[in-house]
Amino acid sequence: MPYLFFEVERQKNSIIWFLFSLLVTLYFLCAFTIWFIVKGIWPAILEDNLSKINFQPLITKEILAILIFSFCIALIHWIFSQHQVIEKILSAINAEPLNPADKYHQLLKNTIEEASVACGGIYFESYVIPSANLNAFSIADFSGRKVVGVTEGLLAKLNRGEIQAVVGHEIAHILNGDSLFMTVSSSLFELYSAILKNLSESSRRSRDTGSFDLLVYVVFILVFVFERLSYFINISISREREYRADAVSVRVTRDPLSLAHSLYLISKNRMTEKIKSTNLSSIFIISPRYKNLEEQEGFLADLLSTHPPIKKRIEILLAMAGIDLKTLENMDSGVKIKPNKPANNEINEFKQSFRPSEQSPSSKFSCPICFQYMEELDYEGNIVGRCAFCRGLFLKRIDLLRVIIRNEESFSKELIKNAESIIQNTKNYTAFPLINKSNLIECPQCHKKMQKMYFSWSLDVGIPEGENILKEIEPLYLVIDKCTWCDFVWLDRNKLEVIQYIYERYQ
Amino acid sequence: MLIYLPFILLGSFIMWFILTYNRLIMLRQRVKNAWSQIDVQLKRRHDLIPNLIEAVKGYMSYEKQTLENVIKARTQATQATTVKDKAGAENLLTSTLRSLFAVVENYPDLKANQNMLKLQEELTTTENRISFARQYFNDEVMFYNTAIKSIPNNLIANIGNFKEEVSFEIEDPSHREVPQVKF
Repeated sequence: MPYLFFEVERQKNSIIWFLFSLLVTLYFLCAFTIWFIVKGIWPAILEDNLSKINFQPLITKEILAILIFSFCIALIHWIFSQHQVIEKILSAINAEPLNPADKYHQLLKNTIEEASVACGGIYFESYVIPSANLNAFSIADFSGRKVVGVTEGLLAKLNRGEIQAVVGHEIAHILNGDSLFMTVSSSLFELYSAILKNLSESSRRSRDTGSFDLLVYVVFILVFVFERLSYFINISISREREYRADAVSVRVTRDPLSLAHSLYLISKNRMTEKIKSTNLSSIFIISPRYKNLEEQEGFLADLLSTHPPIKKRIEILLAMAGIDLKTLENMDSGVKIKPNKPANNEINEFKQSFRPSEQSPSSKFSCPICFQYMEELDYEGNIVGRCAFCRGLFLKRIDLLRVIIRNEESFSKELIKNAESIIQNTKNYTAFPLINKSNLIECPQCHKKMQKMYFSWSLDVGIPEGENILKEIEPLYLVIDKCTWCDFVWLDRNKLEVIQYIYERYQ
Repeated sequence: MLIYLPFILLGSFIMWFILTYNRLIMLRQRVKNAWSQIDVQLKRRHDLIPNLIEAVKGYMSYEKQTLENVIKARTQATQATTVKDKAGAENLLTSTLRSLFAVVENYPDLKANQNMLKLQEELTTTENRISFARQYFNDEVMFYNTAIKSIPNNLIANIGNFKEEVSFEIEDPSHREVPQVKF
């Protein structure tokens, strides 16, 4: 790996000194100007006489005192914002640790470990963001903890080589020291965003006390200025680093085509939810904000975006691979994980359904309709319970997202017809008919009654409404049973396949 | 002040000497470490193979010869000591595994078995790790050789007896040919 150990350590120290001295300078300038102004105006306020305003230059003792004061404030700020910085960022972007029983997560873990072997055996932690869009991130902190993460959508849509290329890019950021820099600088100024939010809330509440308002506005302006400054510092450095991280990723994995194809696929479907409010966008591989600016090139776009234009990145990589852009756009990602059952053949399944399968272990849950014990099945990487008789599925609501975005199933003609009629019904009805609540089934886990509801993409799966095409079929004319107490859902035979087909059709 | 100049020059020369020597030592140690990393991944492959045999045995009772070949190749690989023996034994193991997987294709029940799929994934990642470990070793050898042969450093290399290392290369020239896919 390019960087030797002492070079990495030296880099860490220079990052610390640069950022800390920046912080101290900012505080110093701020305190200096405040003290200067206050000292000049103070006699006028005391005697209530405007002619007494007298701005004097500050003596060395005062400057020294301000320096020490700003140093202490900067130290407190530093310690406060570096405390558990990784946990804070992970919870801000909703990342969850891996589930080794899930074969997609296991694939991610294996690709990360392979890339770390290529770098000499460095340990990286891995997290997954449960989102249908595609993106990847990397964080590092001063204690040496290194974290790499991707979204569920990325695991579902890219093949092994492409996931490895993306992981290689993130690892390159970590090894170059970019992740440390980004983590520290965004967490330093994250504090101000939090203060900004709190202040705007409290200023709304305390309308009656006038002098408090003035102080709030002054601090508000200062904090706003700081935040903008930090943003510009962030973006001026992060763009060149993206190019370098692309290069190091190719050096680690020796595969520029996979990285180019992954960037292309990610740019078509990047993650945008929730990150808009924070300035954490630098830790991601492709910026979640400013979707359109990056497609343009030019001075203003260069100035305002955190990441370089994607087209340029892809072109550089394709030049290494010797392929042009048209061929890339025509490439298909192909099947990623080997499907573990052949194409959905209704008659064969019917014959098999009454044979107890030796492979599937028995689940501790029993079917709410047939009252027999269900079998545990690995459905596209998630463990679900399935009744051998009525083929109904019992799974956690959180697993629905993963199952839907991963597509290993092939769909039979009857299923497609069924799904199309459901879509038609959804579009035709403006108000869905009321559901008959007389025969509610019992939840296999907590034995309370399960609610029957129409399937909703935003509530059940977590695909947000605002920005995608699914909103014309939201909610869907398909009834599912949900247990509101233990957050599991029960889907009758074929309903999950219908939902998967509809999702794929709308991509 | 000028009297101090030769002392300053001597001091900086000594410092440069020590720093460069230490750097060369560190690079050499990294090369050794990279070599043993390959052994770690090879051992991982050796440890996975008994599990593979266990998973496969129940289904493929008529393929005894293939299974025995794999087991024999594995024992040979674990017992090899010299570099040449190791390389030969690992290649033999790879080819027996390849024929085993070709036979597995004929058993659809086995192909769909969860355990088997997990093992196949583990073997794939182990093969990848072996090749990445070799890549890392080659990279380290490249840094080391470059450092030894560069102009100011090669004087120190001669003094400290630093020898050039050999990187991993393909021994069988037939592997360089692009495989022909014919149906």
